[in-house]
Amino acid sequence: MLISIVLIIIAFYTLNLALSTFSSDVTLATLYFTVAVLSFGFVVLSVFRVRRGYALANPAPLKVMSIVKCPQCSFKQIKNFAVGDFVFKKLGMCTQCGVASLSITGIYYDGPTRR
Amino acid sequence: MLDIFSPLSPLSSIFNNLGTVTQLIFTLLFVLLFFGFGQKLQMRQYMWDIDRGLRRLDLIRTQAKDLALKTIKEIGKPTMDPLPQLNVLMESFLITPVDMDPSGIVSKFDHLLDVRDVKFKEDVQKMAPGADSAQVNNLENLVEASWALNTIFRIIRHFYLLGKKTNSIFIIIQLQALLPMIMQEAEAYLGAGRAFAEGQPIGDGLGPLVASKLMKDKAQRKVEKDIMVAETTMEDRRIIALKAEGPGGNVGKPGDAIQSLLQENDGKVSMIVMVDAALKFEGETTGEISEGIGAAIGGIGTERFKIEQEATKQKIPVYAVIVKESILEAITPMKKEILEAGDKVIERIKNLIVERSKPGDTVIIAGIGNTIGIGQ
Repeated sequence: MLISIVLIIIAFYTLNLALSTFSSDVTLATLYFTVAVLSFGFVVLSVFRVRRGYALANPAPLKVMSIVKCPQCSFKQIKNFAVGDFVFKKLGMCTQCGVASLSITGIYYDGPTRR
Repeated sequence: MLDIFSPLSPLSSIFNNLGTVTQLIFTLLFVLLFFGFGQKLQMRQYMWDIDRGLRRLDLIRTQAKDLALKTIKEIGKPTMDPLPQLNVLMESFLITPVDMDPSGIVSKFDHLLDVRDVKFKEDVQKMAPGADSAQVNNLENLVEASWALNTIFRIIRHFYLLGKKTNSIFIIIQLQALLPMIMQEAEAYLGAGRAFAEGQPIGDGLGPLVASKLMKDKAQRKVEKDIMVAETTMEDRRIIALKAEGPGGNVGKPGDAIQSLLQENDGKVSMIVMVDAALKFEGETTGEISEGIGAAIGGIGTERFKIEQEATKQKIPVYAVIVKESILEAITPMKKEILEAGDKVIERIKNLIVERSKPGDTVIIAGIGNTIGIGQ
């Protein structure tokens, strides 16, 4: 924060020097202008780094899905994960073929790609 | 051209009036600031970075601890407040054996880890008397994730305050350089905590998932500590598949199980195939499968030692099939790519045993990893 404030002061000061010397000495003005741009650039970069740092702490819950399948027929259902679900948990009767072989065959996280 | 900047001329004229002395002072100040105090300024900025990271770590560990407490209360139905007991567990530690004389250190480590596991589980059971064995395993994993976060926070805070106190730029630089990886790991542990609280399979469960696909609907028996074994056939070979007992969060002791299976089938086992999740390098694709030689099992090394020792004794080749994933993916809910890799792994194992064994041979297939959310 302190560095950013100092750099902003430096940037404004050198920008003014650049503007005032522009008519008399273009080379010196360019030098001042470069310092101003670099200082501004550093401050902007620092601000973006801070924003990214805060954005990482995202406690959003993950979307986890359970795949329910019947090995006897083609029945397949993807539902939201519920506490108590586990892979190969037997769920009883299949609504399509009526055989008691319905089970959870997979549980996965469905969401945006993580870092 | 001067006309373009004319609106700013009142401001510039103020500075112009100060003349060359001001310019000299400014130049000196600039040089002094960036060359004289450059390192100090850089250190200050690093310390701000670490301070920010430390605040987030504190937030993450508090969230994990609150989650553990909430889950213990919900599942365990304790009669008294579990917070004091949880606080004691959060500060627990393990003193590793003396390594000046390394002979026999593996069994010492193994014994200590066994004692620690039993104590941890009993303490969790006491806090959550209403939980069944699978839920106790899940709660144990959850408390361990909170413990890990608490330990990370304490270590980072220690080095940050030490660096600040001694004004040592080297401590601060090292800490700042490691901080992104540490934060990533901490966030992964928080994600793991959520998965453990709900009993969801994690990326590390790939090995048990593959083994459970082979074991499904076969006669199963329990062998060494928390390991389930079933026999099946594949490409005319006798397959002994094993995994930790699920669906509670558990890794079991596959080293002991493989050792006893090898002794049980003395000289009959022609190869061992170990399936595990492995950390990928940056740039590699999640769910990519690789094959290699050796015991694919993580941890402190005690289980790997037992497998290597027995396999060497009986001259049995050990093959590894791994699925690549990041640390975050390994301990947070299983990604679709990892789940889909399970069937591909079975195909790779088939190819491997056809190439490396004969019909009628006995092959051990070990699914290594945490079996949370995966039954058998």
